[in-house]
Amino acid sequence: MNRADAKRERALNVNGAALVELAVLGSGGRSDARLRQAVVEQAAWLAGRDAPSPGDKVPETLSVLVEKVVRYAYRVTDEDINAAAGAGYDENELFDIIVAAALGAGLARRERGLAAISAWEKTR
Amino acid sequence: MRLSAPRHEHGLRERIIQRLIRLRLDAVPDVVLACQHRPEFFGKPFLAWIETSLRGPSQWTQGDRELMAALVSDRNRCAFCIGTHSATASSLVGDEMVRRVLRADLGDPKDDEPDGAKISADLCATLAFIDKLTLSPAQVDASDVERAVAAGVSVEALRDAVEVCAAFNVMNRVADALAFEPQDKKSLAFSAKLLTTRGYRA
Repeated sequence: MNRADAKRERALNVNGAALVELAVLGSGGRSDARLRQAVVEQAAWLAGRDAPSPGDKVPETLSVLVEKVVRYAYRVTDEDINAAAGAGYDENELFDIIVAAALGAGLARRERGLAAISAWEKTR
Repeated sequence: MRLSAPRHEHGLRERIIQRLIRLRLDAVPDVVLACQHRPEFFGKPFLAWIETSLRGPSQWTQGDRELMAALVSDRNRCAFCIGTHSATASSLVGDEMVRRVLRADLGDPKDDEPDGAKISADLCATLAFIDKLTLSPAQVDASDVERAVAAGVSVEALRDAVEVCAAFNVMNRVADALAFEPQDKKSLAFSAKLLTTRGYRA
């Protein structure tokens, strides 16, 4: 982003998290865009997003990795990565999937935190 | 770092920056390599979010927000980010304060703490709020906000803390899933200096 873009962004007060989500779901990814969307939604739901279950749009071969990234990323092992790679995902796709899962976990917290603040404001 | 793509696949601009870092350090920190891998996909917008959250206008000082980053990283057990943000927070608010925040039960601040390491009531309440938001996000509700407000936190300041919390919940997971190599002492000092003087903009 150049300086003019940065200035425009501040002027528009565009939210940083929304821009990350746009980028991760956008054309810069190397994996199927629908898969990235499904991983973000699944991860956010696992992390407590206030929404109905997104169903099982994440392939089973990736669901263990996605769940570990969301619940306890420090427990992810080489074997988890190798298992996903063995299912046919290359390194760039795995990078996308990890980022998408991490993002979903962060977005859910952001939504929950901001929703609690709005709920408190309504009680005033 | 686990995948070789973020370790090795970088554009010309990124490789030049990495070469400059190698003049000072034995290894380029994995967080830099990961954020510089296809930067438009993740690193660039993500660092912009972090820059706004940790360095943008806020009622919190940079030191307060680095303490929040260290606390979230601690709760997610992310050794890499604990290292970087403890070091950065230490350079802003001192080692004792960081130690206190990371081991604190975040109950009421005690009056007998030495002045230099006293956690203010509003920061303490905010740290407790993002602690819960990190560990049990679905349980956070208006009563948690009420507690923070009662301790003197403004709604705006609490929103700022939510952004820091959310962003570090992302970074901690990327760091751990990709197994970022913890930085050595020299590398941590370099990062802390860079982050306090130049911020996060890539």
